[in-house]
Amino acid sequence: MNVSPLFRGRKAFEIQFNWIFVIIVGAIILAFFITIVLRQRDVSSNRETVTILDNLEQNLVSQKVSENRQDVIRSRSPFLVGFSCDDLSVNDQRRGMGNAVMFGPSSVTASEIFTLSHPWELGFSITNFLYLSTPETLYYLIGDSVSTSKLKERLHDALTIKEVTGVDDVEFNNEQTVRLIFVNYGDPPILTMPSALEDVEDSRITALAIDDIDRPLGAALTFYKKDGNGFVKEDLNVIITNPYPSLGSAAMIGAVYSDTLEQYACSMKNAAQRLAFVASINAVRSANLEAYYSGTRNDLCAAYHGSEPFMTLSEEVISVTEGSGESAGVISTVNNLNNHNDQATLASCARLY
Amino acid sequence: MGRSYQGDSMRENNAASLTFLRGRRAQMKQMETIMVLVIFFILLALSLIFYGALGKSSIRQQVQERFETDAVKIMQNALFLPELACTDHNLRKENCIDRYKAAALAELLNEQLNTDMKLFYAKEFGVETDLSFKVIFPDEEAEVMIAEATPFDINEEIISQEQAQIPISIKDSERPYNEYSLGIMTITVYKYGPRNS
Repeated sequence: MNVSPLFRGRKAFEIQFNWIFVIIVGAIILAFFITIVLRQRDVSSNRETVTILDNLEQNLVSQKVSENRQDVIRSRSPFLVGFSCDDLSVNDQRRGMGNAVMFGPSSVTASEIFTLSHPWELGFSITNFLYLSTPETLYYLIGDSVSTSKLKERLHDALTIKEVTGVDDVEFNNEQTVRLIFVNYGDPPILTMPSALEDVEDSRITALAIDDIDRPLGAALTFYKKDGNGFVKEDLNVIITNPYPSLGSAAMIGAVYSDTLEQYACSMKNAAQRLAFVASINAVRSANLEAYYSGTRNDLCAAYHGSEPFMTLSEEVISVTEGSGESAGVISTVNNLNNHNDQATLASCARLY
Repeated sequence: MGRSYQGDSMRENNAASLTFLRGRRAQMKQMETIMVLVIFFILLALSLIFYGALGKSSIRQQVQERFETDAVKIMQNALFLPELACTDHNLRKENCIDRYKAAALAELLNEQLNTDMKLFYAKEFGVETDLSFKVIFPDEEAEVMIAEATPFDINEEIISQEQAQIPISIKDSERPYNEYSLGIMTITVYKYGPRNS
């Protein structure tokens, strides 16, 4: 049977059209599924990030309501975790942590986060400080073994810590970051760079010198960063003193966890704000009790109560965190508060706190 | 001749109708393919809509669960706050609030100019939360409101609420002996939404 060339051409066109049609539709279907797969991948990665942040938030809420508690948060794959004094970030997502006062390294890639809490007290209890770190930061506690042990027992059990007596014992095994804590090195401390760390990138090494571990209230905390073969004191453009005075044992531990003075000072400012509110509540309470005792002619108890020491302490701590005050004032006010509280207890009056 | 002419035209007619039929068949095949694709995409769209709806309802459920757990979390937090908790030389007493401290916090939060403090404790208790306590034994007393909910927008109204109550001890520092009473702490978390009218 003879088919005209016109029809043969139409047949060829039809076959070609079929193929083009199949390719276009195939490409559309393929693109559709590729888009879904890519989107699902993004969603699952975001979900993992959100899960880590949720776990962290949940954990920090629990830490806030229980003292001296330590936990570990684990993830299947490593993630970039960043701590600032106000929020936490995991990969590219940030989340505020409310009024929590947190201390931790600026940024580390890890698959585990260690969390710990200690109560902050200046006479009366103010809040729980929260500490965060990862196994990727190596902490060297340098000093005599008695002092370093005292410090170590207040840190998270799972932290990567090495206690050494001198800088010659410091080694470097390609850790992400190394934090050197010089314990009881005097004020001003004389620090030498461990030879093992001389060639390491400056940003990976930070140091802190604590002049007296047994003086949690008032010890000098000096923050250093690596500069070539030596250490330089961190110098901020804002008015923050370096050394920064330690405002209690929990604040001293905070300096170990924070890797920069800026970060530490910011957390301490948040802590001072909290102190101001707690102090004002205790001040109103004590003033009301003073009025009550005066009304019942109990002059002895009335004499122990009053808002003044609380308000003075609040002002002194705020001035220290703003760089304009000294720890001596805080120490004497805390001692004054403790005396009043003890005397009130002995006289069977209501305690100040 | 005439026969051959007739035969030729018949052959041509047959060829034309055959081509026409083939064309129709090809067209039908194409239509069939297109229909299969259309049905495929309709099914895909339906399954996506179904999946989306499932996701939406699970998100709604999660939001509700979060709303419920938030109330418990705030309660836990409030009972631990040094601003409210009973302490004895910094040793905290479980599930106990100091009446004088609670009154002081309520007084300070009620001061109009205390904006910083209000914002600070709004983060602690939530802005959509009522927190109160009441002595029930030995003598029942009036409820004391510590923090009160404030809607973000005056055009919003309460659409749902979750309430939790917990028995607590209430310390009264005025009394040197028998300083503890039995009370109840109540927390109500509201969910606001736009007014219907």
